[in-house]
Amino acid sequence: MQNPVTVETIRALARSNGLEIPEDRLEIVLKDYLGFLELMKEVDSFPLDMAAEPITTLSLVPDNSGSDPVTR
Amino acid sequence: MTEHDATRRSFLQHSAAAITAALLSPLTESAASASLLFSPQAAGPAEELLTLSLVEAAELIRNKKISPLELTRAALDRIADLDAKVGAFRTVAADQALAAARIAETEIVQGNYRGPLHGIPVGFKDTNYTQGILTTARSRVLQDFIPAYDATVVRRLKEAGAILIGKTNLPEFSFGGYTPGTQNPWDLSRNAGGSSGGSAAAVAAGMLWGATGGDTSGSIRNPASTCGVVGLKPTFGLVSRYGVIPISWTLDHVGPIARTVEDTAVLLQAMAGYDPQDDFSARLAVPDYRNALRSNIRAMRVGLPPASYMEQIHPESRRATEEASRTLQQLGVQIREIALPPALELARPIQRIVRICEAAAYHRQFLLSKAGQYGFDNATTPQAPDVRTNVEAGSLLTASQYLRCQRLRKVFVQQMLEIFESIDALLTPATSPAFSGQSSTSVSFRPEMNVCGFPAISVPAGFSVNPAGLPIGLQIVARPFQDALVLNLAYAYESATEWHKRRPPL
Repeated sequence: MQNPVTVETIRALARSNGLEIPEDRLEIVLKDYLGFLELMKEVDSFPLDMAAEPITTLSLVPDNSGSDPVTR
Repeated sequence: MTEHDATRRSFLQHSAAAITAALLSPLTESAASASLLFSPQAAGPAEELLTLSLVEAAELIRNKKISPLELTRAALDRIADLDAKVGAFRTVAADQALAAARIAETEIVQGNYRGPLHGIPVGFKDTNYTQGILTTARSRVLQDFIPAYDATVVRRLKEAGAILIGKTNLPEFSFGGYTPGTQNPWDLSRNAGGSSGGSAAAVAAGMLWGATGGDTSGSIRNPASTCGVVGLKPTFGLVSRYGVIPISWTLDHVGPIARTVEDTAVLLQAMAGYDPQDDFSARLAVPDYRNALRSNIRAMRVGLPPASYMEQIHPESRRATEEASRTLQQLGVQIREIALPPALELARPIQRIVRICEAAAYHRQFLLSKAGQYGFDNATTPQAPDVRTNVEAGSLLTASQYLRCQRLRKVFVQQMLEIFESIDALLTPATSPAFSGQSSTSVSFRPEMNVCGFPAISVPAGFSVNPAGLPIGLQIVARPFQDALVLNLAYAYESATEWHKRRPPL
């Protein structure tokens, strides 16, 4: 089966993200993108509990000084 | 007669009046003459200064046997002699360094000794914001960027009295394990590794007594092992990343590179600690890392990866790791083979997806305004990373894909914590690509430590046989915030071996 992801996909995805990738760069970006999708296949193969939450980038911890909670 | 010999001889020729004048004059004037107040007898020729460890140099400074100015001049002379061949620096801030060294001398003479970094020349990776000094991340995108403030690590090391000598080389925006233009001091035909290759090469070549590195996929440990020096990736959250040009906010670590474990501990002591300006900074007390070096390691439980894992490692690295485990066993450590976490095989793809998604978010501003300026080395260096293409492709991944990786990352962290319920530390090779070719094995256990954030150090653990004479590193890993234990074990191993005493044939 032909790979469904093409330079057209890259062009469309980029535009939907507000990026304009020049025509002469679409092929090379496609190559990297396909590499990332291969990595995602490995990631997707691992069973993940429905309750699993992501590592957070934001948590609220009390400030030891007694002032308002600080954003972390 | 060298300039340093002349400087020392001049010490003896100055009168008490000159000394008094130096003490009484305004700071800038007294700084200029403060080296007169240091005793000349302890240190040998300038080249001998370069062989001192950081703590040895610090002790001589504390006792006024050598001066910060001498040490800084020795470093600058070494850089002038060798950096055309090694290529460790992006920027050498000679004037600022000499001015800072003069101030350090004055402070020490006046009794205001700050500690073991006072008057010690160090370098900063060119991702670290340095007030008033060009900070480019080796990219034309930032070719004119002069920060208005210091990164927290820069500020802290300066506050500890360290002398900023210059900014060290890296691949564009720290992408990749190869540092274009920086050669391995052990074999100048080979690369220093990366991405903190300039820092590791400068320390190995005796141009600096310590330097900072950044580690997102192994970028402190890789060049440290390649160049035969010590590199520590501290626990995530221990050292502030504020003011450091990022690759990936949840994977980036900043840490020290030095020639010995004790020097590394001294640098970490100054760098570590809570910083409210880094959202991931841990609000924890910082232990005394140098004191912890000599703790008893007997009965410490240390894990080795199973044979099936080790078989995938370059045979010379494998042999060095196994020999290191026997050395530690002789010191009383309990070595046991352990089962690796089931999610380990996913750690690397998770790391690569998280890294590129976060990098793409950071680089969006540049893709929109300066896309044509990427590619610092792409025309001349095939091994150079294609940062623009990488971040453009990363921009097309979805939030769902990113978050799936971050969910699995939590699973991996939990599995790693479970493994460490039965061991205190883990030994692995810190594979050196210098002799396994630039395409290092897919197994290294370096990026995996960025995914879980555990502390990991690379220490010199031998030299290759074929090709001959290239450094091999040993990696030691521990639980989060057990950085003192990592240093303790590394120090015990280093003390039982001689690898760190060898110097590159420059």
